[in-house]
Amino acid sequence: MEIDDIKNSGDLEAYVCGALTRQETMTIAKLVKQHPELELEIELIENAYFKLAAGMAPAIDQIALFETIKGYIKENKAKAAQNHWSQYIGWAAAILLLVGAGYLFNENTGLNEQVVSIEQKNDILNNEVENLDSLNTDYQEALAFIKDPNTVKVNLAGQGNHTSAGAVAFHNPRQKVTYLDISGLPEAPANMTYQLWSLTLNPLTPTNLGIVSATRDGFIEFLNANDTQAFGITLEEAGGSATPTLERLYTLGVIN
Amino acid sequence: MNAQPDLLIARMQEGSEVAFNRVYERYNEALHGVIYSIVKNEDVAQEVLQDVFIKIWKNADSYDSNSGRFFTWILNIARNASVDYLRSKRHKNSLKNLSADNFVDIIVSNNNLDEETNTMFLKQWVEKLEPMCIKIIDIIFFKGFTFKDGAEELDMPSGTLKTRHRKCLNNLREMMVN
Repeated sequence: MEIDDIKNSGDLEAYVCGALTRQETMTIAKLVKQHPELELEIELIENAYFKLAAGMAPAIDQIALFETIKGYIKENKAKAAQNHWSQYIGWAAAILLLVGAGYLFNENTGLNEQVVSIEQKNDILNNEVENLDSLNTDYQEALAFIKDPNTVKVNLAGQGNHTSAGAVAFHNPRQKVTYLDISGLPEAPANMTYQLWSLTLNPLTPTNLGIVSATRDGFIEFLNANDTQAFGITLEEAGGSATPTLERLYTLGVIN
Repeated sequence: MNAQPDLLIARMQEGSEVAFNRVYERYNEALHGVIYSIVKNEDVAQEVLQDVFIKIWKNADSYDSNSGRFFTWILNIARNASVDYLRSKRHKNSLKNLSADNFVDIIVSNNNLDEETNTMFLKQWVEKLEPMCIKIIDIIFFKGFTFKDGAEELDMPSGTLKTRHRKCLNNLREMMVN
Protein backbone atom coordinates (compact mmCIF):
# COMPACT_ATOMS: atom_id res chain seq x y z
CA MET A 1 0.00 0.00 0.00
CA GLU A 2 1.18 3.47 -0.89
CA ILE A 3 0.78 4.88 2.62
CA ASP A 4 2.92 2.13 4.13
CA ASP A 5 5.56 2.67 1.46
CA ILE A 6 5.78 6.32 2.41
CA LYS A 7 6.01 5.45 6.10
CA ASN A 8 8.75 2.89 5.53
CA SER A 9 10.78 5.09 3.20
CA GLY A 10 12.16 7.18 6.06
CA ASP A 11 10.92 10.33 4.33
CA LEU A 12 8.60 11.25 7.21
CA GLU A 13 11.44 11.20 9.75
CA ALA A 14 13.54 13.27 7.37
CA TYR A 15 10.62 15.66 6.91
CA VAL A 16 10.38 16.32 10.66
CA CYS A 17 14.16 16.84 10.91
CA GLY A 18 14.14 19.21 7.97
CA ALA A 19 16.60 17.03 6.04
CA LEU A 20 14.65 16.92 2.76
CA THR A 21 15.01 19.26 -0.20
CA ARG A 22 12.46 22.02 -0.50
CA GLN A 23 10.58 20.21 -3.23
CA GLU A 24 10.47 16.89 -1.33
CA THR A 25 9.23 18.77 1.74
CA MET A 26 6.37 20.37 -0.21
CA THR A 27 5.39 16.96 -1.62
CA ILE A 28 5.22 15.37 1.83
CA ALA A 29 3.36 18.37 3.28
CA LYS A 30 0.72 17.94 0.57
CA LEU A 31 0.38 14.18 1.14
CA VAL A 32 0.06 14.70 4.89
CA LYS A 33 -2.88 17.06 4.40
CA GLN A 34 -4.65 14.37 2.35
CA HIS A 35 -3.95 11.40 4.66
CA PRO A 36 -4.64 11.77 8.41
CA GLU A 37 -2.79 8.47 8.94
CA LEU A 38 0.43 10.10 7.75
CA GLU A 39 -0.19 13.09 9.97
CA LEU A 40 -0.55 10.81 12.98
CA GLU A 41 2.72 9.05 12.13
CA ILE A 42 4.44 12.42 11.79
CA GLU A 43 3.13 13.48 15.18
CA LEU A 44 4.52 10.30 16.73
CA ILE A 45 7.91 10.92 15.12
CA GLU A 46 7.85 14.52 16.26
CA ASN A 47 6.90 13.45 19.79
CA ALA A 48 9.87 11.11 20.00
CA TYR A 49 12.27 13.84 18.87
CA PHE A 50 10.55 16.35 21.09
CA LYS A 51 11.05 14.14 24.15
CA LEU A 52 14.66 13.44 23.25
CA ALA A 53 15.44 17.14 22.79
CA ALA A 54 13.49 18.31 25.84
CA GLY A 55 15.34 15.73 27.93
CA MET A 56 18.59 17.48 27.08
CA ALA A 57 17.52 20.92 28.26
CA PRO A 58 19.59 22.19 31.19
CA ALA A 59 17.47 23.23 34.17
CA ILE A 60 16.67 26.95 34.05
CA ASP A 61 14.04 29.36 35.34
CA GLN A 62 11.77 29.25 32.30
CA ILE A 63 9.41 31.94 33.53
CA ALA A 64 12.23 34.42 34.23
CA LEU A 65 13.66 33.83 30.77
CA PHE A 66 10.28 34.44 29.18
CA GLU A 67 9.95 37.68 31.12
CA THR A 68 13.27 38.80 29.60
CA ILE A 69 12.04 37.93 26.13
CA LYS A 70 8.77 39.73 26.74
CA GLY A 71 10.65 42.73 28.08
CA TYR A 72 12.70 42.90 24.89
CA ILE A 73 9.59 42.76 22.75
CA LYS A 74 7.89 45.51 24.76
CA GLU A 75 11.01 47.70 24.62
CA ASN A 76 11.09 47.42 20.85
CA LYS A 77 7.48 48.46 20.64
CA ALA A 78 8.13 51.40 22.97
CA LYS A 79 11.07 52.56 20.84
CA ALA A 80 8.88 52.57 17.75
CA ALA A 81 6.30 54.62 19.64
CA GLN A 82 8.96 57.08 20.86
CA ASN A 83 10.15 57.81 17.36
CA HIS A 84 6.63 58.71 16.47
CA TRP A 85 6.44 61.15 19.40
CA SER A 86 9.73 62.84 18.66
CA GLN A 87 8.45 63.69 15.18
CA TYR A 88 5.33 65.10 16.69
CA ILE A 89 7.26 67.19 19.16
CA GLY A 90 9.47 68.49 16.36
CA TRP A 91 6.47 69.76 14.47
CA ALA A 92 4.99 71.22 17.62
CA ALA A 93 8.23 73.13 18.24
CA ALA A 94 8.18 74.54 14.70
CA ILE A 95 4.64 75.74 15.10
CA LEU A 96 5.43 77.20 18.50
CA LEU A 97 8.21 79.24 16.94
CA LEU A 98 5.94 80.49 14.22
CA VAL A 99 2.91 81.42 16.22
CA GLY A 100 4.44 82.46 19.50
CA ALA A 101 5.21 80.64 22.66
CA GLY A 102 2.78 81.70 25.37
CA TYR A 103 -0.60 80.50 24.32
CA LEU A 104 0.57 77.29 22.76
CA PHE A 105 2.79 76.49 25.73
CA ASN A 106 -0.22 76.52 28.01
CA GLU A 107 -2.19 74.55 25.53
CA ASN A 108 0.64 72.06 25.23
CA THR A 109 0.84 71.57 28.97
CA GLY A 110 -2.85 70.80 28.99
CA LEU A 111 -2.40 68.38 26.14
CA ASN A 112 0.50 66.67 27.85
CA GLU A 113 -1.62 66.13 30.90
CA GLN A 114 -4.28 64.67 28.69
CA VAL A 115 -1.70 62.44 27.05
CA VAL A 116 -0.58 61.14 30.43
CA SER A 117 -4.16 60.47 31.44
CA ILE A 118 -4.90 58.82 28.11
CA GLU A 119 -1.77 56.73 28.40
CA GLN A 120 -2.90 55.59 31.82
CA LYS A 121 -6.31 54.69 30.46
CA ASN A 122 -4.57 52.97 27.61
CA ASP A 123 -2.60 50.84 30.06
CA ILE A 124 -5.77 49.79 31.83
CA LEU A 125 -7.45 48.97 28.51
CA ASN A 126 -4.38 47.06 27.37
CA ASN A 127 -4.59 44.95 30.50
CA GLU A 128 -8.24 44.29 29.86
CA VAL A 129 -7.49 43.33 26.27
CA GLU A 130 -4.80 40.95 27.45
CA ASN A 131 -7.20 39.35 29.92
CA LEU A 132 -9.88 38.99 27.28
CA ASP A 133 -7.35 37.67 24.83
CA SER A 134 -6.29 35.05 27.33
CA LEU A 135 -9.90 34.07 28.03
CA ASN A 136 -10.61 33.96 24.31
CA THR A 137 -7.62 31.68 23.77
CA ASP A 138 -8.99 29.40 26.51
CA TYR A 139 -12.36 29.28 24.80
CA GLN A 140 -10.86 28.65 21.40
CA GLU A 141 -8.72 25.85 22.76
CA ALA A 142 -11.74 24.32 24.49
CA LEU A 143 -13.79 24.60 21.30
CA ALA A 144 -11.06 23.04 19.17
CA PHE A 145 -10.82 20.26 21.75
CA ILE A 146 -14.57 19.60 21.73
CA LYS A 147 -14.62 19.60 17.90
CA ASP A 148 -11.81 17.02 17.74
CA PRO A 149 -13.28 13.75 16.38
CA ASN A 150 -11.46 11.84 19.14
CA THR A 151 -13.29 13.75 21.87
CA VAL A 152 -16.25 11.95 23.47
CA LYS A 153 -18.94 13.68 25.50
CA VAL A 154 -19.93 12.00 28.78
CA ASN A 155 -23.01 13.14 30.67
CA LEU A 156 -22.56 12.74 34.43
CA ALA A 157 -26.02 12.19 35.94
CA GLY A 158 -26.95 13.10 39.53
CA GLN A 159 -26.84 10.20 42.02
CA GLY A 160 -28.78 9.32 45.21
CA ASN A 161 -30.02 12.45 46.93
CA HIS A 162 -28.41 14.66 44.33
CA THR A 163 -30.52 13.86 41.27
CA SER A 164 -30.69 17.53 40.35
CA ALA A 165 -26.90 17.78 40.14
CA GLY A 166 -25.11 17.15 36.86
CA ALA A 167 -21.88 17.73 34.98
CA VAL A 168 -20.50 17.10 31.52
CA ALA A 169 -17.06 15.68 30.75
CA PHE A 170 -15.34 15.86 27.38
CA HIS A 171 -12.66 13.20 27.14
CA ASN A 172 -10.00 12.80 24.48
CA PRO A 173 -8.00 9.60 25.01
CA ARG A 174 -5.57 10.53 22.24
CA GLN A 175 -4.65 13.90 23.69
CA LYS A 176 -4.97 12.39 27.20
CA VAL A 177 -7.01 15.34 28.35
CA THR A 178 -10.44 15.67 29.96
CA TYR A 179 -12.41 18.92 30.13
CA LEU A 180 -15.12 19.20 32.75
CA ASP A 181 -18.11 21.54 32.67
CA ILE A 182 -19.43 21.93 36.24
CA SER A 183 -22.13 24.52 35.65
CA GLY A 184 -24.73 21.89 36.75
CA LEU A 185 -23.17 21.26 40.16
CA PRO A 186 -24.43 23.09 43.27
CA GLU A 187 -21.80 25.24 44.99
CA ALA A 188 -19.64 23.14 47.32
CA PRO A 189 -20.28 23.80 51.06
CA ALA A 190 -17.59 25.63 53.05
CA ASN A 191 -14.51 23.50 53.81
CA MET A 192 -15.60 20.95 51.22
CA THR A 193 -14.49 20.44 47.65
CA TYR A 194 -15.56 18.40 44.65
CA GLN A 195 -13.14 15.81 43.32
CA LEU A 196 -13.09 14.11 39.91
CA TRP A 197 -12.34 10.38 39.55
CA SER A 198 -11.49 8.28 36.54
CA LEU A 199 -13.08 4.85 36.96
CA THR A 200 -12.48 1.48 35.40
CA LEU A 201 -15.37 -0.97 35.87
CA ASN A 202 -15.19 -4.69 36.81
CA PRO A 203 -13.55 -4.41 39.23
CA LEU A 204 -14.42 -0.85 40.10
CA THR A 205 -11.10 1.02 40.41
CA PRO A 206 -11.07 4.78 41.00
CA THR A 207 -8.09 6.98 40.06
CA ASN A 208 -7.89 10.53 41.34
CA LEU A 209 -7.91 13.14 38.56
CA GLY A 210 -7.85 16.10 40.89
CA ILE A 211 -9.84 18.66 42.77
CA VAL A 212 -12.59 20.47 40.90
CA SER A 213 -12.10 24.19 41.49
CA ALA A 214 -14.24 26.80 39.79
CA THR A 215 -12.61 28.74 36.94
CA ARG A 216 -13.74 31.96 35.34
CA ASP A 217 -14.96 30.22 32.19
CA GLY A 218 -16.59 27.26 33.98
CA PHE A 219 -14.35 24.77 32.16
CA ILE A 220 -11.64 22.81 33.92
CA GLU A 221 -8.89 20.90 32.17
CA PHE A 222 -7.50 17.67 33.62
CA LEU A 223 -4.58 15.66 32.31
CA ASN A 224 -5.89 12.13 32.04
CA ALA A 225 -3.67 9.35 30.70
CA ASN A 226 -5.90 6.67 32.27
CA ASP A 227 -7.88 4.10 30.41
CA THR A 228 -11.08 5.74 31.66
CA GLN A 229 -14.37 3.86 31.38
CA ALA A 230 -16.45 6.18 33.55
CA PHE A 231 -16.19 9.46 35.47
CA GLY A 232 -17.49 10.18 38.97
CA ILE A 233 -17.56 13.33 41.11
CA THR A 234 -17.63 13.09 44.90
CA LEU A 235 -17.77 15.78 47.58
CA GLU A 236 -14.71 15.58 49.83
CA GLU A 237 -13.22 17.54 52.69
CA ALA A 238 -11.18 20.55 51.56
CA GLY A 239 -7.86 19.40 50.14
CA GLY A 240 -9.34 16.27 48.59
CA SER A 241 -9.16 12.62 49.49
CA ALA A 242 -6.99 9.65 48.44
CA THR A 243 -10.05 7.47 47.89
CA PRO A 244 -13.58 8.52 46.93
CA THR A 245 -16.24 8.83 49.66
CA LEU A 246 -19.00 6.93 47.88
CA GLU A 247 -21.75 8.14 50.25
CA ARG A 248 -21.12 11.58 48.80
CA LEU A 249 -21.06 10.51 45.15
CA TYR A 250 -22.79 13.38 43.37
CA THR A 251 -22.60 12.46 39.71
CA LEU A 252 -21.57 9.49 37.61
CA GLY A 253 -21.32 8.89 33.87
CA VAL A 254 -20.12 5.95 31.77
CA ILE A 255 -18.33 6.35 28.42
CA ASN A 256 -20.41 4.61 25.77
CA MET B 1 3.18 17.08 23.53
CA ASN B 2 0.28 16.30 21.24
CA ALA B 3 -0.85 17.50 17.85
CA GLN B 4 0.58 20.71 16.36
CA PRO B 5 -1.26 23.66 17.98
CA ASP B 6 -2.29 25.30 14.70
CA LEU B 7 -4.69 27.64 16.41
CA LEU B 8 -2.06 29.03 18.78
CA ILE B 9 0.42 29.44 15.94
CA ALA B 10 -2.14 31.34 13.86
CA ARG B 11 -2.93 33.63 16.78
CA MET B 12 0.75 34.25 17.41
CA GLN B 13 1.09 35.19 13.73
CA GLU B 14 -1.73 37.70 14.24
CA GLY B 15 0.35 39.24 17.04
CA SER B 16 -1.16 37.71 20.19
CA GLU B 17 1.40 37.78 23.02
CA VAL B 18 -0.72 35.31 24.99
CA ALA B 19 -0.46 32.81 22.15
CA PHE B 20 3.28 33.47 21.92
CA ASN B 21 3.59 32.76 25.64
CA ARG B 22 1.91 29.39 25.16
CA VAL B 23 4.06 28.53 22.18
CA TYR B 24 7.06 29.32 24.38
CA GLU B 25 5.77 27.12 27.21
CA ARG B 26 5.27 24.29 24.79
CA TYR B 27 8.51 24.38 22.84
CA ASN B 28 11.17 26.08 24.98
CA GLU B 29 12.58 22.92 26.52
CA ALA B 30 12.95 21.03 23.25
CA LEU B 31 14.68 24.00 21.60
CA HIS B 32 16.86 24.54 24.63
CA GLY B 33 17.97 20.89 24.37
CA VAL B 34 18.83 21.24 20.68
CA ILE B 35 20.73 24.49 21.23
CA TYR B 36 22.63 23.07 24.19
CA SER B 37 23.63 20.01 22.16
CA ILE B 38 25.31 22.35 19.67
CA VAL B 39 26.84 25.13 21.81
CA LYS B 40 27.59 22.84 24.80
CA ASN B 41 27.68 25.69 27.31
CA GLU B 42 24.77 26.42 29.63
CA ASP B 43 25.08 30.23 29.71
CA VAL B 44 25.50 30.45 25.96
CA ALA B 45 22.58 28.07 25.42
CA GLN B 46 20.30 30.25 27.50
CA GLU B 47 21.35 33.38 25.62
CA VAL B 48 20.80 31.71 22.24
CA LEU B 49 17.42 30.34 23.38
CA GLN B 50 16.34 33.88 24.20
CA ASP B 51 17.43 35.12 20.76
CA VAL B 52 15.66 32.22 19.10
CA PHE B 53 12.31 33.05 20.68
CA ILE B 54 12.70 36.71 19.77
CA LYS B 55 13.33 35.57 16.19
CA ILE B 56 10.28 33.29 16.31
CA TRP B 57 8.15 36.22 17.44
CA LYS B 58 9.56 38.65 14.88
CA ASN B 59 9.40 36.23 11.96
CA ALA B 60 6.24 34.34 12.92
CA ASP B 61 4.63 35.57 9.70
CA SER B 62 7.06 33.68 7.54
CA TYR B 63 6.00 30.26 8.84
CA ASP B 64 3.72 28.56 6.33
CA SER B 65 2.10 25.24 7.25
CA ASN B 66 2.16 24.23 3.57
CA SER B 67 5.90 24.01 3.67
CA GLY B 68 6.39 21.80 6.71
CA ARG B 69 5.91 21.38 10.44
CA PHE B 70 6.13 24.28 12.87
CA PHE B 71 8.52 22.16 14.95
CA THR B 72 10.82 21.79 11.93
CA TRP B 73 10.68 25.52 11.30
CA ILE B 74 11.67 26.49 14.84
CA LEU B 75 14.20 23.66 14.94
CA ASN B 76 15.97 25.25 11.98
CA ILE B 77 15.94 28.67 13.62
CA ALA B 78 17.47 27.14 16.75
CA ARG B 79 20.18 25.23 14.88
CA ASN B 80 21.09 28.23 12.72
CA ALA B 81 21.23 30.61 15.68
CA SER B 82 23.46 28.17 17.58
CA VAL B 83 25.84 27.74 14.67
CA ASP B 84 25.85 31.50 14.00
CA TYR B 85 26.76 32.10 17.61
CA LEU B 86 29.71 29.75 17.44
CA ARG B 87 30.88 31.40 14.21
CA SER B 88 30.43 34.93 15.51
CA LYS B 89 32.55 34.14 18.52
CA ARG B 90 35.18 32.88 16.13
CA HIS B 91 35.10 29.48 17.65
CA LYS B 92 37.62 27.36 15.91
CA ASN B 93 35.24 24.40 15.80
CA SER B 94 33.49 24.23 12.45
CA LEU B 95 30.11 22.53 12.26
CA LYS B 96 31.79 19.29 11.24
CA ASN B 97 34.23 19.32 14.11
CA LEU B 98 31.27 19.57 16.43
CA SER B 99 30.29 16.02 15.61
CA ALA B 100 33.31 14.89 17.66
CA ASP B 101 31.06 14.43 20.66
CA ASN B 102 27.37 13.75 20.43
CA PHE B 103 24.11 14.16 22.33
CA VAL B 104 24.57 10.92 24.28
CA ASP B 105 27.83 12.19 25.80
CA ILE B 106 25.95 15.28 26.93
CA ILE B 107 23.02 13.40 28.43
CA VAL B 108 25.27 11.00 30.27
CA SER B 109 27.81 13.54 31.51
CA ASN B 110 25.68 16.55 32.53
CA ASN B 111 24.07 16.47 35.97
CA ASN B 112 22.24 19.76 35.61
CA LEU B 113 19.61 18.59 33.12
CA ASP B 114 16.01 19.40 33.92
CA GLU B 115 14.86 16.45 36.01
CA GLU B 116 11.21 16.98 35.21
CA THR B 117 11.70 15.80 31.67
CA ASN B 118 12.56 12.21 32.52
CA THR B 119 16.28 12.59 32.00
CA MET B 120 16.75 9.36 33.91
CA PHE B 121 14.69 7.38 31.41
CA LEU B 122 16.37 9.21 28.59
CA LYS B 123 19.78 8.06 29.81
CA GLN B 124 18.59 4.47 29.79
CA TRP B 125 17.11 4.78 26.32
CA VAL B 126 20.02 6.44 24.57
CA GLU B 127 22.52 4.08 26.14
CA LYS B 128 20.64 1.20 24.53
CA LEU B 129 20.89 2.72 21.06
CA GLU B 130 23.39 1.24 18.62
CA PRO B 131 26.50 3.43 18.14
CA MET B 132 25.61 3.96 14.47
CA CYS B 133 22.11 5.12 15.46
CA ILE B 134 23.60 7.62 17.86
CA LYS B 135 25.75 9.04 15.07
CA ILE B 136 22.85 9.18 12.64
CA ILE B 137 20.38 10.86 15.02
CA ASP B 138 23.08 13.27 16.14
CA ILE B 139 23.87 14.38 12.61
CA ILE B 140 20.39 14.41 11.11
CA PHE B 141 18.30 15.66 14.02
CA PHE B 142 20.59 17.68 16.27
CA LYS B 143 23.07 19.05 13.76
CA GLY B 144 20.55 19.37 10.93
CA PHE B 145 22.65 17.86 8.14
CA THR B 146 20.84 17.15 4.87
CA PHE B 147 20.89 13.50 3.81
CA LYS B 148 23.39 14.32 1.10
CA ASP B 149 25.88 15.86 3.54
CA GLY B 150 25.11 13.26 6.20
CA ALA B 151 25.74 10.43 3.75
CA GLU B 152 29.15 11.91 2.93
CA GLU B 153 29.98 12.38 6.60
CA LEU B 154 29.04 8.80 7.51
CA ASP B 155 30.31 7.34 4.26
CA MET B 156 27.14 5.49 3.21
CA PRO B 157 24.62 5.90 0.35
CA SER B 158 21.95 8.49 1.22
CA GLY B 159 19.11 5.98 0.59
CA THR B 160 20.65 3.65 3.18
CA LEU B 161 21.05 6.53 5.59
CA LYS B 162 17.36 7.41 5.24
CA THR B 163 16.07 3.90 6.00
CA ARG B 164 18.56 3.37 8.82
CA HIS B 165 17.50 6.69 10.31
CA ARG B 166 13.92 5.41 10.38
CA LYS B 167 14.97 2.13 12.03
CA CYS B 168 16.98 3.98 14.67
CA LEU B 169 14.11 6.29 15.51
CA ASN B 170 11.74 3.32 15.65
CA ASN B 171 14.01 1.70 18.25
CA LEU B 172 13.86 4.86 20.30
CA ARG B 173 10.07 5.12 19.93
CA GLU B 174 9.61 1.53 21.11
CA MET B 175 11.74 2.19 24.19
CA MET B 176 9.77 5.35 24.94
CA VAL B 177 6.44 3.51 24.75
CA ASN B 178 7.59 0.72 27.05
